[in-house]
Amino acid sequence: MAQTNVLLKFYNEYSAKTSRKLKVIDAYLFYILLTGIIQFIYCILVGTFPFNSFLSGFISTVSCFVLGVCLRLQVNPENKNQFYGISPERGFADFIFAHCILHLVVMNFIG
Amino acid sequence: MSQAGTKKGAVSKINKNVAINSLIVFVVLLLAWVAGFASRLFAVIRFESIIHEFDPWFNYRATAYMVKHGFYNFLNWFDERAWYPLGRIVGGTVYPGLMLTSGSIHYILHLLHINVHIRDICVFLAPIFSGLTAISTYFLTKELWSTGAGLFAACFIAIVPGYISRSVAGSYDNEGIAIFALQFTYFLWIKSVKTGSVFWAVAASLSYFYMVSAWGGYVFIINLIPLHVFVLLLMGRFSNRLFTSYTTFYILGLVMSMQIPFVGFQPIRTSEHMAAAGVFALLFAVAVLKYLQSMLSKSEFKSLVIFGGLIAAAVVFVTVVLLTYAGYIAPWSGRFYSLWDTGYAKIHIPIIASVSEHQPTTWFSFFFDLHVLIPTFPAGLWYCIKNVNDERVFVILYALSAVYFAGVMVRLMLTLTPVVCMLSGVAFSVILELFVKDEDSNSHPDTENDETSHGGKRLYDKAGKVPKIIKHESKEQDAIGPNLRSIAAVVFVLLLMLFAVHCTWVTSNAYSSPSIVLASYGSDGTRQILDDFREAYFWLSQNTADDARVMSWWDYGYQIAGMANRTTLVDNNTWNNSHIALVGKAMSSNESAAYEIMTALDVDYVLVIFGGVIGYSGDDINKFLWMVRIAEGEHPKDIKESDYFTEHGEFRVDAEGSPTLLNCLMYKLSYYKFGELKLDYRTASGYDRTRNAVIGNKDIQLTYLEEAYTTEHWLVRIYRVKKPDEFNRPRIPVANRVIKSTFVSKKNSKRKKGVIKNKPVIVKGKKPAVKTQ
Amino acid sequence: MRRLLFTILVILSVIIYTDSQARKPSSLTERVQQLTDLASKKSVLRFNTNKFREFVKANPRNYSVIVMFTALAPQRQCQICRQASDEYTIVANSFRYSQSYSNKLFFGMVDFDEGSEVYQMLRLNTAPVFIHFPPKGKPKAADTMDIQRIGFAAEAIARWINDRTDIPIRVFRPPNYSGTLAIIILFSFVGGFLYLRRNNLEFLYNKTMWGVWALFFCFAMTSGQMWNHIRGPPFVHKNQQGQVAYIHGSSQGQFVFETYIIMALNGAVVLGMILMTEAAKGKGDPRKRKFLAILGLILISVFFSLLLSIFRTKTQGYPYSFLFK
Repeated sequence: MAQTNVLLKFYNEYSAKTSRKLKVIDAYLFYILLTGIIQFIYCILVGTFPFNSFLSGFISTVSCFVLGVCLRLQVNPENKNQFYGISPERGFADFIFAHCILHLVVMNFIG
Repeated sequence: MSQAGTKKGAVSKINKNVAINSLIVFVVLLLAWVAGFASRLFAVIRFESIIHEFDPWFNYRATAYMVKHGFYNFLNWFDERAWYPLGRIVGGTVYPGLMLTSGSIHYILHLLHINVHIRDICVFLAPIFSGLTAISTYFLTKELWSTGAGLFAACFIAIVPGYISRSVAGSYDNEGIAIFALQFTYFLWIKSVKTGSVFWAVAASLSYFYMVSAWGGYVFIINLIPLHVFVLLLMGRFSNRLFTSYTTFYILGLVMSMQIPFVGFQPIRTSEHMAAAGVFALLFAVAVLKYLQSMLSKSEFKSLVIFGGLIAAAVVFVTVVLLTYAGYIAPWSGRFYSLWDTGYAKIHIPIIASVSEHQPTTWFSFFFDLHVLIPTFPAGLWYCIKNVNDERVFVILYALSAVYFAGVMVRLMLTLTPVVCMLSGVAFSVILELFVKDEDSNSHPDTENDETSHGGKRLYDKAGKVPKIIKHESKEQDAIGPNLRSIAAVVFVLLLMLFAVHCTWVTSNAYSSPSIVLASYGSDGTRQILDDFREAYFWLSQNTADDARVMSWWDYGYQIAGMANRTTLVDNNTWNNSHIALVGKAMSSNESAAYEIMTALDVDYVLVIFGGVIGYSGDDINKFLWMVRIAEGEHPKDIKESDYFTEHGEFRVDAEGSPTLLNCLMYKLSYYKFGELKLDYRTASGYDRTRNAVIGNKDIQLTYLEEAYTTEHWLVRIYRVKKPDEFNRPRIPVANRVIKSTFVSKKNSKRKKGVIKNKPVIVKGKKPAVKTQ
Repeated sequence: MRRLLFTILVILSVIIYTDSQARKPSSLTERVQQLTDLASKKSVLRFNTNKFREFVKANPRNYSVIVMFTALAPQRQCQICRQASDEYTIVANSFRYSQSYSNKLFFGMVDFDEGSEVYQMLRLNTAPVFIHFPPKGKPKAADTMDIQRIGFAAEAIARWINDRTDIPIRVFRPPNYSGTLAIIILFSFVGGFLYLRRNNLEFLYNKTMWGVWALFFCFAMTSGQMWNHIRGPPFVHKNQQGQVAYIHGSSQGQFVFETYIIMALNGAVVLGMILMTEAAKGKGDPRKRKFLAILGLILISVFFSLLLSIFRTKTQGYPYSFLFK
């Protein structure tokens, strides 16, 4: 089918074009995605009590995913002209800062 | 060598410019802060440093509780002295930001041994934060346009009456700090959209967290920012910066906003927050598509997009609709829905419709609160549209939505004020920049010449041509001669001066009354102060038992709880409509029916406000019809509004009034013994100055209550509810009183009373004989 | 002899027959049956004078009748009768399909042209009037609905009927799909328009057009159009002497014409500001630009002063003015 050809082509291009740094981040993102899915399935199976714990855990995975994506965008040298004045080091520092705040809040929320 | 010299000269000139600029900015902002602070102090100077109105009293009481008992006890506070016998979970039904702010200021000052009383901190909190609002408005407008516009906007918002009305010294309410949080959050958001940095986005979400803790109007932020992102997507202005800033802001803001107990799980359950989530998902989808687009060719991409995009959008939309239908997502709450469907509140939720702040706005209120800014902010809007970029889209959306909401509800004029100040700042800055700055247009090309010469641009080669171009340009710019420039400058300065004096006049006359102390001015200007409210509350706190229950209409609940420190039945929180309807029913029924309700609710005192002696128009008889309506909503069989009108449909308190009205509890309590009062020698006794009529029922007898206290100008009247054993006792003459003795001795059958054996006999002066063992 | 008996019998039967014919079927159950039959066909029964006397005025009755006295003929020009009649029909229909439907309450109407004697009998000279005829006794003062005070909305009528007869009627308005329909039509128009112009979407990028729309919206909102929409004030106010007041005297109200004036004034000031900026910035004929700048300045000052003076008339004690009082 046309769709599978497109996907195959996409996969080949991806393996060829992206640098190692980005592939590491992508692997990290994939792992977070799996964790999120597992949490969600657990919630559907076992129930939502206590709801705030489920929420804090799920939102924690989503935000780690989001922050990872942002880091990937900022570290990617192709996007340099879109982020004026943000070097990859600055991007990484922001990433850590955001994670500190995020985990403080999540720990408060988890109950 | 000369190049380096001119370079140094240019650099030092730039440094000097920068230095002077930053000094000017600093001085202007400082003056704006001082001006804003000072113009809010009218009430403190005229009366004293006291908390105004109704709602601030509750906030003050909560803050005092927090300062006394600590933060965690405040979060877990269950207030059993409000809404008797139901009580109120304060920790879960209040926005703690205000209390936290003043509590922390109090804590820090006390650490430094500057012992300021918590009341003074509460009174002066709003003026201090107005200065901070001016500063954050400056930063926001600077990001949007230029420094000059920022300074204008800061000065405008420091003194504009629309903002002063809710942040006067003494008005200790959420809006005082919420507008600061609003502007600061918007500034951080714009900064993060401009730079795309995660740091600014995290800062924006922290500021949003502060806003959520401060005011229920945070819903405005969480809908305006997604709207901004959505419109940018529609305009095709997607960029990675936008993606980073919004996704970080949203997800961190979401988890932080759920920390506030009052907000709880609403951000993922109610329709008001669904737009933000929808835009989040949409943004992800668009980002993925863009990424794929960079990887694939156009045709393949197109097929994938159309296939995947349509499916995704449909799935999201259908999920949301289904979840709303199934009840997992609550529909729009009444307060916000009434902003769209303007007729909704009057039919379904009369309490919302009765509040005077929820009425629509006349043009007069717009002009009164915003003066010259109203005709000039559309010009700023026009320039933002003409020179649009990502940030200015935000301001345009902010302005259009705020102007609609302000037209629908007077109270929301407050959210319109910041954006009007910003856009007028832009407009004034644009005009004055063109009309005032070009005085020294001749010097500008000189400095440009220096820069170009040391910059090594191509113009250096055409040095011969440059002077000609300068002369030509200066001729062009001077088409508007210096006379016109100075006239225009003078006119604008006059406009600004008019604005300033208008603001001061409005603040002084309209927004500086503490409403707990009334003042009237005699014909020769002497001021007479009516301190009846505090007199009554003080009497209550001194002369009643600590756990006495006071029944009054809900307007005064917070003040009674705050000043008199007594348990109330209903207060301004109005969360329980049935309880309020019970109180309304008690006030509108005749005395015996009301007494049943009062004994069921365990009431000790009843408090009514009566303005007939001084002509005060905010008293309970004028509010009486709302009591009837709210009671009728819950008890339609017992209370009918039509019973309180005459046959011709008029509401009259004189002899032609309807008998139900003349015998109801509220009427009796207001006019008890008023029929004997002659206000002056010309008018008849019992002349009600507010309704301009002589009352109909002059000889009022109360069976179940007795008058406890009436203040000096009869403004507040307090009655004590008699206990069941106190009234209607028949009076038996002394001769007929029989003391029944029903003593039966179990020791003997002869009904003799017992005796004490060996009862010691005491003789004065002698020790009794003691048996020692 | 037998013939005589026979003729007497025939004459008697004829007399009895004509007698029974002359007396209309006036027993209670028959009347109720007739009314129920009529009501099942149409929820609001039209009465002329005879029917009115037969069903409403006749005794005994064990049912209430609500009668609307109206004048629906076009030459009577009674707009309010039409609206009241619509609302009344809604109440009658709601009653018919409600759970409390019984044969204890009937809805009727009498048009002036069909039953003018009834009007004379009851001494009515206005329309519409709603009167409740109780089963026993004459209608009292409260049995005439006070339209001045409570209006004639279906909910108000139902509440009044509940007051008088203790029969609760839940007003069921037929779902008004006009709102949904309007939105669907609007969306299809916009969609069709965009589809037709899909090759030439340049007009969407025209900033001037967006600017004009945005400004117009701002002017509409800040001049108080929402207040007009919600409160429905009159266009202008004519008092007894025939003088027309364009501006509402107090600060709590406004007239429609007044809001248009304010919109025009705001628009003029904004136009002045834009003219001034364009004149100062633009490159063109210097004389023309100077003229535009002067015009802009005059616009701003004159119209702002007008705005201020209108504001002054509505505020007591406002001491400031710009160019003229």
